[in-house]
Amino acid sequence: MIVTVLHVFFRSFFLQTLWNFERMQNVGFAFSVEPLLRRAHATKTGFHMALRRHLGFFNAHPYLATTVMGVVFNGEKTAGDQEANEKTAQAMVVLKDSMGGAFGAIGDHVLWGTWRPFCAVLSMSVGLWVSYPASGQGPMSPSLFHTPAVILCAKWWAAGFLGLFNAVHLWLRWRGLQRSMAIGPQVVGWVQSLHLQPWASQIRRLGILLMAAMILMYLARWRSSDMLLWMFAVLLGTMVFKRWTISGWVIFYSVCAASFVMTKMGVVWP
Amino acid sequence: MIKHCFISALWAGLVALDITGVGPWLLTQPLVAGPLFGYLMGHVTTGLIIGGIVQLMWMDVTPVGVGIPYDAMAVSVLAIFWSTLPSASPLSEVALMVQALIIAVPFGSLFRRMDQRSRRINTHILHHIEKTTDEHLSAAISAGIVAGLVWNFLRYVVSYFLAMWAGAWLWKKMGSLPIETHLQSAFTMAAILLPVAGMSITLDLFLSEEPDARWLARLGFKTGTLKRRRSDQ
Repeated sequence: MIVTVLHVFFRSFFLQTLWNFERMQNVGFAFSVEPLLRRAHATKTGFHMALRRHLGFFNAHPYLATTVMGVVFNGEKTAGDQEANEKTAQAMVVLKDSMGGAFGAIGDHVLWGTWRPFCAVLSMSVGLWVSYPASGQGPMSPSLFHTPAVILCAKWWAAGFLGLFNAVHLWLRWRGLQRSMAIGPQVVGWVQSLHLQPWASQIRRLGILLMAAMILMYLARWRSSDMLLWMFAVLLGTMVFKRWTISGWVIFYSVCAASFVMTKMGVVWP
Repeated sequence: MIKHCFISALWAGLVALDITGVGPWLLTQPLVAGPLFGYLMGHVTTGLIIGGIVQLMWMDVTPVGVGIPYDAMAVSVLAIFWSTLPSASPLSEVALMVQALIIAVPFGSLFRRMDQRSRRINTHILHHIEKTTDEHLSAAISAGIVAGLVWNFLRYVVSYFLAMWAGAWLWKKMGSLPIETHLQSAFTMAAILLPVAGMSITLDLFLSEEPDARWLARLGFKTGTLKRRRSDQ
């Protein structure tokens, strides 16, 4: 059985390969869940019917999709091959869709909206702190182009972010699959017991503190009051722009244009 | 130049598979893709600076629901590629990075559009899979996945190759243009101010998506929702 579970686990990384606007992740889902369907059905006809059934619409967060796959296996095993159980199988498809939607919303908010930016900010700040210590601003301080410092910082950014983010990602994929295969639809209770929303809220608060510290450390590097004034203007201006839902590229070009105008006006950085 | 563009496009195509092919492991996040691509180009510093700026500026871009987000990886990879090309321009290394970013930013939207179009081709592959008999359905699904992988890789390699090649031509032309004296200062200033704008965007992301934000409301902060982010994409 473990070989089948490993098969499904590795196949689940291809969930989005054929993502399409008509049925979203359906092909990836059918591809991933196929080894489990083979185990759940004793006859070829039962397996073929199940595989076609699961080629229908599916969309969930890719890291929580394995949890739905386990529920599907559990349900297909219970339904068996008899035609009388076709209704049970159809009900399970409905359950699969509704779980996919709910897990999609949770994953978008907790993993994309919170955990990803938090890991990025944490690895960036640790990388900068380790490679360019704030205390060393004297002549011995490594410059932005000091190669050993750059390499160290790059390692922290890439390895730190990938390690931290993917530790949670892989755990969710693996554990979700295992739990849902064992307990079926009751896995919803397990997901609830993870308290993902309260955790996300705490992580956001930590993120706010980390970001505020990063901003202060960056501003502290510039000693001139003129510079600080302009930086505060950019900081607040950007926040106002975001509140007006102005896109990142507009903000990017606005900052470039403002820099151009300022230098035309004679503002020069030391 | 063509060989250099092709090899760089192959690397970029391989990393870009993380978005739609295998994963997502988030190798395409600019803070990973930037230093990685910088290392491959032999300029880790450039990769680090450009990757850092792009990551902060587009931190709030995520594939929420069925939305296809702005391609921040394309921006960082293309900007790194161009800014590491030999240039006759008198601009400093940092100023050249900002110049490369200015050219690369529209490509984020262009690559997003291409991703949308490409997913329509995925629908055609799906229709072919559905037409197969029950006996061959399993094999058709596996073949479809392989076809999807190959298609995604090829389209990324071709898109990156064309963008890099056209940009390199433009880059060479720009290097020979007379430069206004204050442009060096303006680009340096932008390089200092862009991380500030990026940090502000990231801070706003944490503040606005705070789900349990009563404590923030008491402090006078207005809070937004994911819906707002969706409209932004």
